[in-house]
This record gives sequence, structure tokens and C-alpha cells, in this order.
Amino acid sequence: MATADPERAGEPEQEQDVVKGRSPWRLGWERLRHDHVAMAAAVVIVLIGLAALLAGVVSDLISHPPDTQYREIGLSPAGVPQPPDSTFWFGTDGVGRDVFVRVLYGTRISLLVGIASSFGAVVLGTVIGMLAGFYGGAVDTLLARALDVILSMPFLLFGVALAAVLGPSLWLVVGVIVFFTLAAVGRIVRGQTLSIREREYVEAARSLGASNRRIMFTEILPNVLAPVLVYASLLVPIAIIFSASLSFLGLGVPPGTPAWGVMLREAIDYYTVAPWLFAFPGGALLLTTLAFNLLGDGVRDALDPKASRLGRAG
Amino acid sequence: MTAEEAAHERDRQDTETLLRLENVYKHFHVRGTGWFGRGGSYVHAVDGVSLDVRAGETLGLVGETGCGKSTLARCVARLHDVTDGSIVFQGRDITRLPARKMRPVRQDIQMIFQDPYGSLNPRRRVGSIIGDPFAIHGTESRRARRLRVQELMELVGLNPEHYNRFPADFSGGQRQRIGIARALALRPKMIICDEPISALDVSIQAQIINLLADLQDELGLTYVFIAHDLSVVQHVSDRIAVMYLGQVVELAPTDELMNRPRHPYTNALLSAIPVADPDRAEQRERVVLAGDMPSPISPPEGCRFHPRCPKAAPYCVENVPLLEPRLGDRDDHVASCHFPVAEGEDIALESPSIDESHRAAGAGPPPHTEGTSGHGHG
Amino acid sequence: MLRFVIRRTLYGVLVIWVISVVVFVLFFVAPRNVARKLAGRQADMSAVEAIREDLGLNRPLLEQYGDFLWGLLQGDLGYSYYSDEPVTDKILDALPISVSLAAGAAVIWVVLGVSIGVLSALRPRTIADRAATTFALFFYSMPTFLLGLLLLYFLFYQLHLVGIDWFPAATYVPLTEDVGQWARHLILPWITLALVLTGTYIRLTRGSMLDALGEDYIRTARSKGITESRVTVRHALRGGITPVVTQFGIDFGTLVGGVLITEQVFGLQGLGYIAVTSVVQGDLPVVIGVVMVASAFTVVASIVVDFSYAVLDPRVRLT
Repeated sequence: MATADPERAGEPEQEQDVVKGRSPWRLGWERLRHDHVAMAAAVVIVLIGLAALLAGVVSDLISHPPDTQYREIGLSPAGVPQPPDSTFWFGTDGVGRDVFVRVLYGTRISLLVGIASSFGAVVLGTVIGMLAGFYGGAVDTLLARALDVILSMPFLLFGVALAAVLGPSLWLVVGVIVFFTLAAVGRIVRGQTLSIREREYVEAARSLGASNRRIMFTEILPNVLAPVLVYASLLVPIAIIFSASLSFLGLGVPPGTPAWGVMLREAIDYYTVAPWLFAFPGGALLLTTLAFNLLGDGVRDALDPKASRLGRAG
Repeated sequence: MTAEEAAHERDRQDTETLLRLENVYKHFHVRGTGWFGRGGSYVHAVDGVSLDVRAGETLGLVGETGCGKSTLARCVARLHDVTDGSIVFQGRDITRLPARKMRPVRQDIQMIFQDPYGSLNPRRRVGSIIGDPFAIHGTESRRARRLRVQELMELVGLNPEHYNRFPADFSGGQRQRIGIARALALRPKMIICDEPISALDVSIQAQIINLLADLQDELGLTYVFIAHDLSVVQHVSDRIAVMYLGQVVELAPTDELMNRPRHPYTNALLSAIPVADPDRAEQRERVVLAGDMPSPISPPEGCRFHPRCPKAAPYCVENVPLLEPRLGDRDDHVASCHFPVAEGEDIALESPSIDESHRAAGAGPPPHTEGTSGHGHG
Repeated sequence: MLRFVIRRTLYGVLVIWVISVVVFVLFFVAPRNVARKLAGRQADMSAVEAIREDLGLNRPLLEQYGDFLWGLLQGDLGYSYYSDEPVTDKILDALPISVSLAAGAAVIWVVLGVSIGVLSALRPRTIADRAATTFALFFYSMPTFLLGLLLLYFLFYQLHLVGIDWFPAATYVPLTEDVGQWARHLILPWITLALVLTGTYIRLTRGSMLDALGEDYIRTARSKGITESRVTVRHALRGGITPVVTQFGIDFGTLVGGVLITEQVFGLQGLGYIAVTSVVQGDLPVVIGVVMVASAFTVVASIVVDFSYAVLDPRVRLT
């Protein structure tokens, strides 16, 4: 066998990194970087993220805590909310709270629900789909059927019912979204795994004596990740809309929380006299979902141009 | 004496034998269309194959697509569990070794795959792909691994500096070299080459063949070389086994097989090799087989080749030919045919003497065979 | 084909059965506080016990499930805890509203979605296509309740202020009474629901049409000199419509089972509305009834989708 060149053995690593290949991820990123719309959306998302992080700081700065009711200066003598002015940039709500601060705080809940639930759904869905597709047989039948059942359940209705049974809470909302969306992720991953399982590189790994776990993690997972990532990025706005809808029905985040859905529900009583009550949280909500959808589309085009399009029911 | 001890005994006598296959069967279950998938059938992919592979040789395994050669290779590499029969490697029965005990054996049996595009994970760097065997068997430290991988890359003629590239950055031939490097990593005794060059450009094929030959000399490897025609195999093999519908129909040293092919199927394969010399090409009659290969779900009765054989006779329909020396051949040249082809005989001119009426009637044994009873295969 | 139908139907029944178990476990096993809630905050233990007794909540679980399933099989969903009305009656009252809402909206979103999708697929990357894509993405990103509130504010309230009452809200006129009034009262909810879903359909149609137009058989059809409109309609649309049909089946099935948000915003007392109300009240039999009926619609829709899939796409093997 040829012996290694002693000089090369001692060579510093940079030398070899010059000919480092660009990974498919990197190629995808480069495509995404040239997608102006997606990059603009990403900037908006970063700003929304900053708003979420700095909500507390801003609230301190203008010394308007989100839950303080300014009954004296925030409401008209007749008890009607104040329109936007220099003190209350987005006006006040029915009990005299600062809408601007509350909208800022609302970004926290929306981002948290959106990201946490799409992360949860992706992790669980990937694990389930990979196990079902990889092992096949009875495991597959059981898991695939379970996913079928989940997909046959009316999503929103079950969410509403569950919220009623278990009481409204943020984590329940996340749990419900995870439960109903992991089935879709699971299906995609299962299908992908079924086809990747038959590839020769999986056989090659097996012939080397690789364990099932190693095959799943090093051979299959990197190849199912692209469609999953695309799905995950499109799942974020779905989760945000869903949680806002539950809150709007009074069954999501507990009432009184500064969440956009809750604020919009509270706005209904005043919609003839105080349209800013739904203009600002509604606008923030729409801006957020639009930004995520635009970025998600960009990610799909960059990573997986043939990925399936999503549907949604209202 | 148990079967395993008997196998040991035999191998002590014949120390050269690296791999012995005895009556290997592999049937795949096909789901039926009935309720709950009942009424399924079986694909007889490998149907009673016995073969020896000697240390240091190259055994060619030839047959049309679907004849079971790749399945056989995957059974040997234990990618499939065999339905019946045994696989003895270095005197040890590995047929049903559990995965854990099989792992050390895998170091000695490696595989090179047909599709250089499909056999490398597109999302992993080649350095990590070639280093896989070390990672799986934990044989080298992380630092040493990189050096070993670069040695291997150099050995198979790749630029070791391309360690960090992805398979997509390489051409087909280079990818096949990556596959070879991976197979060599653990210094195996035997490599199963599953049509390693059939997906490559003709100009690249010779390079890979030469590389494999050089590596065999350098490292003392044993090859099982699979191909769908004889043109490549004849140059690399010491012996050649011809497979048809899950069975070996002829096995002989390469020269012997090329000069005195006994089975009509081997003759047909031989006549399909392109000949460079136009004068010789002119003289040769191409043997054209009738019809397609029958379904391996319900292989034909008697001799499996009879529906397509130019020499088929009613006797062939009912009697299974044994794999044994024919027409006074040496012991190492065996064929399974009731009417073996004699030297100088041109079977392109013959036509089968069977039709529906003969099928039912059956006939006596042919005069010039050694009276094989021909029931129960091999 | 018959075997496929039977098998698919049996499987649907199985799914519904599993859902019934899930529903039962969820609502009968999990909450121990239903009786307490019904009895009121100040009630003492004996009052709570009495209610549990009355509702049969103190019996063994399996027995309760048996009753529940037996009732289900006979189409008997029990009685509302609140109004003592049979749940079946409540559902039958609400169903026409949900169906009217879903069906009317479906017409709009399918016509709008498919035609815009086809047009933008035929002229990709033109200004019209970009406008359509933006329109689709905008409404796809729009929460239903937000759009509903916007329409209410501008098309109902603002018009009302200037004395134009074209679009009345918050009432339902049965179809059998007055078709014109029925449609007029439903027009805002229809637009809301339809616009939110149109986005999905434009994207879906455009995508699969573009895929289909790139296929070899389309090129063959063109090379045979078939007119472009014929190519579009006969060949590409037929090949590209399958995912749209699938999506439609799923959406429609889900919507008939209750358009929760739209009904809530516009105060239409359909299945979704009574579901939300009963959930808030803790009226379990009604909640369970609606959930079961809605699930049944979803399952039936998925079966119908599978059948139509087989009819539309001859490549699908019926096994």
C-alpha cells in the first residue's frame, strides 16, 4: 500500500481547505442570498425578533408597562379608548392600556408559538416518519395509520375542544399545533425515507457493518432534512395564525395576555369607535405571517424547488 | 459430526477456498393483491447456487439483468438473508450470524457498487465517506483516520487534497474510485464488484479495470466480479460462472469457457461479444435467443432454459439437468445441459424440437448424455 | 374497483372508530371537573355528586364508552347538558348553515383560484403572474378572522354609516325561504372564507400547471398542431388538476364540519359556532357530537378524493 507522503502529513489544514467543496446547504444558502424578496423578508423577521427581544427595554424606556391601565389619561371621560397620539403611539385599549407596548409584547408570543411548535412538529414528525419508513412492516403500518388518523381529525375543532378540556395556556396551544402538524411532516419524511432506504449508499453503509441508528442519522437524515426544513419554515406562519385564531376564539392564550389574537378579540367590542385596536395588532400579525411566508417560499426555491405546496383551511 | 464441523473438515483439506456457497436459495415474497395482501407469490431470485471462490482469484459472475447475480452478491455480503443454504467464509459459517458477530466478518468482505452516483451519499464529504469504515469499526483515531483516508485516496488515484469535496464535484470514474477506496479501507480479503464499470463511459472502464487489477496484485485481493456480458469478465476473471434464472448453468476456467462453451446459453452470450476483426465477425453467426427471460416467479419446469434454447428437446421439458462435467470435460468445467454444445457445432443453425404435443408426451433420455436422472436440482 | 371501494370504506370506518376512542378518552376520562363546572362555583359536594350521577359520569369507563359507541351507531348523540335538546337536532339545525357557507365559498375559491392559477401558469413571470402570486401570498398569509373583521368594518359598518346596507351581517336566512336573501346575507362570509383559501388554490394550480406544461406529452400535443387553448384545457389542466382536487376534498370536508372562525366572526350559528359555544359552556355531548360529525365529513371527503384521484389519474393503481 502506498505510504503517506511525510511532508503532507505535517501540512497545515488550510492547505486542504482551499479545495473544500461547497455543500448542498451552502449552495442553497447562496441561491437564497440572491433572492431579494426572501432577504427582505428575512430582514423584517430579524426586526420582529428584535422587537420581541427589546419589548421590555422599550416598555421601560417610555415607562409604559404592558399591563398598566391608564384610566385617567388613556381613556376619554366617557371611557372610550384614546386614538394614537404622542403619548400612546398606537392609542389605548378598552381599559386604557398602551397598545404600542402590548403589540411589542405580542411579538414574543407569536414568535415563541410559531418557532417552538414548528420545531416540535419537525423533530417529532421526522423521528416518527423515519422510524416508519426505515423499519417498514408492522412499525410502519402502525405509525402510518396513526398519522392518517391525525390527518383525518378536524384540526381547529380539536384544538378548540382540547383547549376547553385542559384550560387555555400557551403551551397547550403549542402542543396542539405540534400534534396536528407532525403528521404532515411525518408523511413527507416517511415517503423520503422509503425511497432513500433503497439507495446504494445505504446498502454500502450496511455492507460496512453500520448499525441501523448510524444509517438513519448519517445516511438518511441529511437527505430528508431539506424538504423538512422547507416545511418547517412554512409551518411557522401557519402556527402563528392558528394560535392567534384560538386566542381570538377565547381558547388560546389566557385572556389579558398581551398576544395579538387576544387583543383582536378584545377589539371587537370597540370596533366602531376604535379601529386602531385591530389595525395595529392585525397589521403586526399580517406583517409577520407575510414575512415568514415570503422567506419560506425563498427557502423552498433555494433548497427544494419541487417541494409540495401547502394548504390551509379556515 | 455437525454440518458446521463437516464444513470445517472440508476447508482444512482445501485451504485455498475463501468462500463457499452451498445450495443458496433466496426467494422474495411478493405481496398478493387479495384481501390483506394474501395470495402472494415468491420471486426465485437465487435458486440453489453452489460455488467456491478461491483465495486470490477473480471469479466472474455473468448473466442477463434479473438472473439473480446481484441478489447472490448481496446474500454473500449479508445484505439479504438467504432463504436456505449456507455461506461459509474462511471456514466459518456466516449464513446466520447475528449483526453483532457479523461486523468483524464484514471487514473482510467488501462491496463495490454499480452506480457511482447512487452509492455515494450526496450530502457527505468524500473524506467522511471513505473514512466511514474506520468510524463504524472504530479502528483508527480521528486524527489517524484523515491520514489513512488520504492514503487510500492516493492509492486509488484521487487527489488527496479533494478530501473535503462532495460527490457531486467528481466525475463518474472518480466516484467509482471513491467507492473502491471505501471498500479497501479495512483491508478486506474479498471484494464483490457488482457491475463496477457498467455505468461508466467506455474510455473510463479500462482505467477502473486496470486499477482493480493493480490493487489485486498489490494487496492480494480476491474478487467476485459481476457483469451482464462476457466481454469485460473474460479479461479479468480466472474462472467464470454463468447464471440464468437464479442458477449457475456453467462454470469453468476462463480459457476453457471461452474455447469450449457447453451450455447453449453460454454460447449465446459469447456470440454477443463484439469482435474487432471484421473477417472473423463475418464468419460468426449470432445466436439469437427466442423470447424474453421467463418470470422468476414461476420458472419453467425441467431445464429452465428450454423455452429459449435453440437445442431444446422434449426431454428438456421434464428433466432438470445437473451441473457436472459434460462431453468428457475436466472436473473444473461443469455445465447443466442435457444436450451440451460440441466444439465446432453451430447452434445458430439449430431449432428446438419441442412443441405443445411433445410437451405432454415426454421422451426418453438423449443418447449421448451420461444418463442423468435429473430430478431435484444440484 | 369494487374491492377498492369496500376496502377504502372499511378503512374509513376504522379511522372514525379510532377517533371515537380518542374523543372519548379526551372528554370522559380527562376532565374530572365537568360536573363541578355545571354545578356552579358555590355548589357543595353532594350537588356535584348528584350531577355526576345524573349524567352517568360515575359509572365504569368501559360501560360509558359502550353506551357512547352504541348511541353513535344508532345516530344518537345524547342530549345537551344545557338545553336538554337532542344533540342530533342541534346538529341538524346547524348543518345547513355550515354547508351553505362552505358550498358558496367553495364555488368562489375554486373558480377564482383555478382560473387565476391557470392564467398565471400560462404567462409565467409576466406582470400579471407576479400580481397573481402576490395576491395569493397576501391572502394565504391573512388570518381568517382578521379578513372577516376587515370586511365587516369596511363593507358592512362603513357602508352602513353612509346609508348603504348592501351586505347585511350576523343573520342567516334559510335557502328555502328566500334565495336572494340567503345569498345576500352570506356574501361577506363567503368572500372571507373564499379569499383566504384562494391563495392556496392559486399557488397549487399554478405550480401543478407549470409542472404539467413542462411534461413530454404536452410537447407532443403541441407538436401535433393542437391549438394552444385545447392543449391547456384538455391536456395540461387534466394532468395538473389532481393535486387541486385532493386539496379541495380535504378543505371542503373540513369546512362542512364547521367553519369555526368565519361563523364566529359573522355570528352564523353553524356547526363551528355551536361547537365553540358548547366548548365554552362545557356542554360535552354537543362538543363530542360536532367533533364526531366533523371527523366523519373529513374521512368521507378523503375517501371521495381517493376515488376521484383514481378516475382522474389512470396511473393510480387501485389496490
